[in-house]
Amino acid sequence: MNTREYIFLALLTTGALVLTILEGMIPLPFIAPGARLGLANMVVLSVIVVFGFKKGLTVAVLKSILVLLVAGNPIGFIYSISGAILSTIVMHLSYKYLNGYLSLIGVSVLGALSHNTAQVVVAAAVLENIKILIYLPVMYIVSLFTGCFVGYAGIFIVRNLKKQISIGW
Amino acid sequence: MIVINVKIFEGDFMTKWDKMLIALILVLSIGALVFISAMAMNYDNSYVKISIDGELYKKYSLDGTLDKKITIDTDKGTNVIHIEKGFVYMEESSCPDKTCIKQGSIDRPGEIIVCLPNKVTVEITGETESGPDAVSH
Repeated sequence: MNTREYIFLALLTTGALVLTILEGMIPLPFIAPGARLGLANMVVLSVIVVFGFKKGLTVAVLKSILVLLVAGNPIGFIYSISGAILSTIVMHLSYKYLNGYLSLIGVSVLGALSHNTAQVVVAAAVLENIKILIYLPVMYIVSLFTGCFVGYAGIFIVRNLKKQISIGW
Repeated sequence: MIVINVKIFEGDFMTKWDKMLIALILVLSIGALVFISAMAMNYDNSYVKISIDGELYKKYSLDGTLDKKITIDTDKGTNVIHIEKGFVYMEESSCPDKTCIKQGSIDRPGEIIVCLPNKVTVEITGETESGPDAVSH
């Protein structure tokens, strides 16, 4: 890990933060509590593919902490960080072991599903109410669409990132 | 110069396993949704249960006539729940995201409104009548 890489990862983390803030400004019809586009997942997904699991996890966790500092929502932080950690682990494992079967679209869909699962399960644990799990099917259907979009974008990001690194590193 | 080994997929776009995964999740989720709404049909009476921090705070029988505003004041914040014409909705909340208000109204058993920051849940539960009435139903 050299300075260039540090700076590059810091820039990517900032990009993820900006994407999170921007997606909060997009008005969306209410579907389920906590349903988001998950644009920042594009960054985490590409970092996992290009730089590996540890750096992907670092970016995901740092992004959650930065969002906490910017948005100042400590309750939301618990859900976002548990979702971020689980989805990073799932995306890494599915990229590593299911590579060849699933493209980045499938990896990203699995990441989105696990992100939702972690969030809803933590919410159910905090509120001590198992019925919150009733939201899961709706959130799964929504995350299929957002997951496809993020995976599709991830393919292009990875391609360009790789090109950039091979030229300028 | 660092050599970074990047695996790029041959086809780059959706593989058949991707499509199968998506189809599987879609079928399972829609199945679960159908199951949940089918469950909600089987009740005769419905109740509104308001819980704070996982503990039952109040329970009302939900029929078309009840018109009531419930104000909940805890150290985490304030919520105003309005029960009206068989529908329940969160009218006011002190939470930052207002997700509970955006969710709108609920009226069927199994539906739930959650205010995560204030740890308030409003759920509708159903009960099946027992006894001779249920049979003649």
